[in-house]
Amino acid sequence: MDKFYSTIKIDYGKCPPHCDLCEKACLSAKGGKIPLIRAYPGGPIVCNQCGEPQCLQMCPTTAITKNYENGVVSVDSEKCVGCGLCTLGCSYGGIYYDYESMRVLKCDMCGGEPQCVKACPEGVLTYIDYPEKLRGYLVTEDLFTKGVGLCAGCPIETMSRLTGQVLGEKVVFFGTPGCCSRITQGIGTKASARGPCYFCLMTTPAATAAGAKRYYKRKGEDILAVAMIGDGATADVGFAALSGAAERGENIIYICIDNEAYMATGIQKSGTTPLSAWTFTSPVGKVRSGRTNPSKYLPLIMADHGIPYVATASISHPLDYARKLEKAKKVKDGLVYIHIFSPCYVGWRAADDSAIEISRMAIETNYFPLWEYERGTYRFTYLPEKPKPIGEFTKLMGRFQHLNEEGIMALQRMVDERFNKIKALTLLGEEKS
Amino acid sequence: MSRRKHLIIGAGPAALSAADRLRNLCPDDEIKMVTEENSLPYCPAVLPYLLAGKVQKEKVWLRTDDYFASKKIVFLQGKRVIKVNPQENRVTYLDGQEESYDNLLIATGAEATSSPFDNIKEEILSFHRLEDLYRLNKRLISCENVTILGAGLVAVELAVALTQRGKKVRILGRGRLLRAYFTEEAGNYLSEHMERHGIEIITGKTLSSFKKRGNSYEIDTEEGDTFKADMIIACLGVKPNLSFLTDSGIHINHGVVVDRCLKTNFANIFAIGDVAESPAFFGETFGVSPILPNALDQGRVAAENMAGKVSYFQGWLPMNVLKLFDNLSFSIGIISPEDGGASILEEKNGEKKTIKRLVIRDDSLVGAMFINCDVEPGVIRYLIERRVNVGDYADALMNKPRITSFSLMIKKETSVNQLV
Repeated sequence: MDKFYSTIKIDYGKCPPHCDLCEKACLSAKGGKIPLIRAYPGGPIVCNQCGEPQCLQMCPTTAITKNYENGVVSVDSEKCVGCGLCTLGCSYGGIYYDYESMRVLKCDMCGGEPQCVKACPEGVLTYIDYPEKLRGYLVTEDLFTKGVGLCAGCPIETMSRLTGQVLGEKVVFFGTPGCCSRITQGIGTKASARGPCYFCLMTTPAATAAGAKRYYKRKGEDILAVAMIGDGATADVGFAALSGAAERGENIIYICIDNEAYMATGIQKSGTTPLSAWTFTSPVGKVRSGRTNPSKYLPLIMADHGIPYVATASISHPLDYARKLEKAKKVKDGLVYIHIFSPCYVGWRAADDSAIEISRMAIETNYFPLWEYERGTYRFTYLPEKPKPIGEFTKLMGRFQHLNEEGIMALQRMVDERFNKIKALTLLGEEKS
Repeated sequence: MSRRKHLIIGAGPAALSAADRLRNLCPDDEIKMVTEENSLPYCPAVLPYLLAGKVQKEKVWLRTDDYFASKKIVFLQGKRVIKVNPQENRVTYLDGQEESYDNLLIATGAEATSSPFDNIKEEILSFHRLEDLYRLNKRLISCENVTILGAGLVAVELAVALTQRGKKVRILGRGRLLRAYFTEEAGNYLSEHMERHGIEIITGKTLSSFKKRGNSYEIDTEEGDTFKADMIIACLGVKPNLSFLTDSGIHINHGVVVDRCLKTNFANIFAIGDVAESPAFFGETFGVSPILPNALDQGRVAAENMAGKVSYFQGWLPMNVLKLFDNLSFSIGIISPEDGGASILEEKNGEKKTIKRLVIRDDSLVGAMFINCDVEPGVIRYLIERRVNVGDYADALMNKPRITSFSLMIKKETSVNQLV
């Protein structure tokens, strides 16, 4: 990812009629006569601060510029000649012509404290500033080149780039054949990683990473051995090596990117494929429908190894992931295991831009709770205020579409059981302290 | 993939949009941009404002040398291509040098149509390029009365700019004002408004002869009038700049004929911008569209195709914005449909000088014209380009154009997301 930018999030359809508090707040903040946010039936309109702004492209004098530090698109009134072409370029009505000064005006997000958001009583507007906070965790430039071999919309790309940027330059990546290798190892003869990376067999990433780490240590180099491995190689074929490395206390960071099946080979069931989910090897037909037994829950299994740090993470909560990586970086006396929830729209039969929505719903339904285990203590890092029923999650994808009410209930029971188990473990920690 | 060489002739907004996209898609390829003009790239739309003194010259460059260096784009000024040889993938420059290419992008833009009086060409100025502006500026000091030949958009913008410079301006045209973009009534509103600002507008005249008398000129028309002026500027429209393509084998009609991929009849030669004759948004027709938003789109699409992807241009739509009143005036798409099947809604207010006109076919908006109305042109453009169903909202769009167009846009945008 290039940069993380803060943004004003709008919940369309929640705006009450005849409310214009955001407009008024903008007028008083900017002291102008034209509000730069407009309350319309359906929802307010404010500049999107687009990634490729059309207003900028249209401007004949380059008066409109995008600040790549904070993402804000702004107008230089010295250069603006007032031709109005930009208003023709913007499809979203985010730039306004001011007939008094014969210039255009647009939202500048009030330098990071948008007044419209403060004025909104209905929670329609929210200022999402965690990208700003997230930036505080980034210690290096992106460790991967642009253009990777992953499917467009796959969360692995964002998560891998974030991983590299938080962990820093002293990272050696380890990968196996699978989806993750499309970014850690590159594709064809082209590598994507700017740093060293090692391509292992599916059965041995943990052992290979551990060996390499020992080699570097002997040479006096303090590197982070980071294995980014899919769920198949982690839960099934490579589990013996992982379990062994954990038990021996090898100092590596093992990140499992869990898309809940063997996706790179064409959607076959893996150890983490959830109950009743469809894959090509757990088909839906007359005799059976999807996977018949519950999946392995690897994070708990790994925590039971008594290693220093275990965590779960998701693309919908990048700040949470960055914090966990920061903790992982500091562990010097054993294995760190991080389990990333990674929706695969191809294998899950979902929309190609749905990864973040699905991840968020997985967390809001407690299907994939965010927690961490730190030297004996379990702790939730995010808890949904009011957990949603699992049907909200399953309806976002096709692999559960065969489920009737009974099937959904069974899945709900599995989710509740797993969540209650973790909850019990977190309470255990409280009693102890 | 081996390193390819993309040669771009021209440095207007279309060419720049293509170069940017090309650089993003092919980080290793060689990109070279040549222009016959002796300046950094600029947008022709800025010229009237430069003339009016609203912006300084050093602030109009769209890209600087630093930019080209950072993007590893070779940019050469004053390099005129006189011949293209598609069989050998080579171009010839005016200075005799030759250059080979893997992909050629023709973005030479347009040149001003020459004035009707060939014998005294030097005396009549044109207003199309930066050089024209310099020449005009030099002569302007000693001139009071300026006559502009032509009644198109450039003529109007130039007239406004010269008025702001304190000159006495006359527009002398054959057809009515801005007939390409606005209906007759709308044109009249605009004329009246300009006349109130001291611009003399005379239309319906055919020029017959031209004489020089001392430092001023006399123009006679076939109708028997004689007009005097210190300076004459011809704004009689533009024509694609493609004389260097004669006998090259590249298919030429009014402009360089291209398909929806903006490809000519040669697989590695593309054309964009004012020089290209490309498919229109509506119908199966082809045409040359000298319009900035379309040129930018074409640049992106051509670059994607040159990079080896398949990408299609959605077709050009005429559109323009004018700011002569207290509110915006603009037109987009088909405003005077010639065929049946389209319904026209129109509402006028002679006192406030407002006109709202919508052209709707099969429940989609195909054209709109708003004179002096509070509405965002980009949102109306969105409704047309995305073929948003406005059937039930046509009346609302007429009565409350701003709110309705925004609501339709939000509805469309959020429904796209809900498909997930």
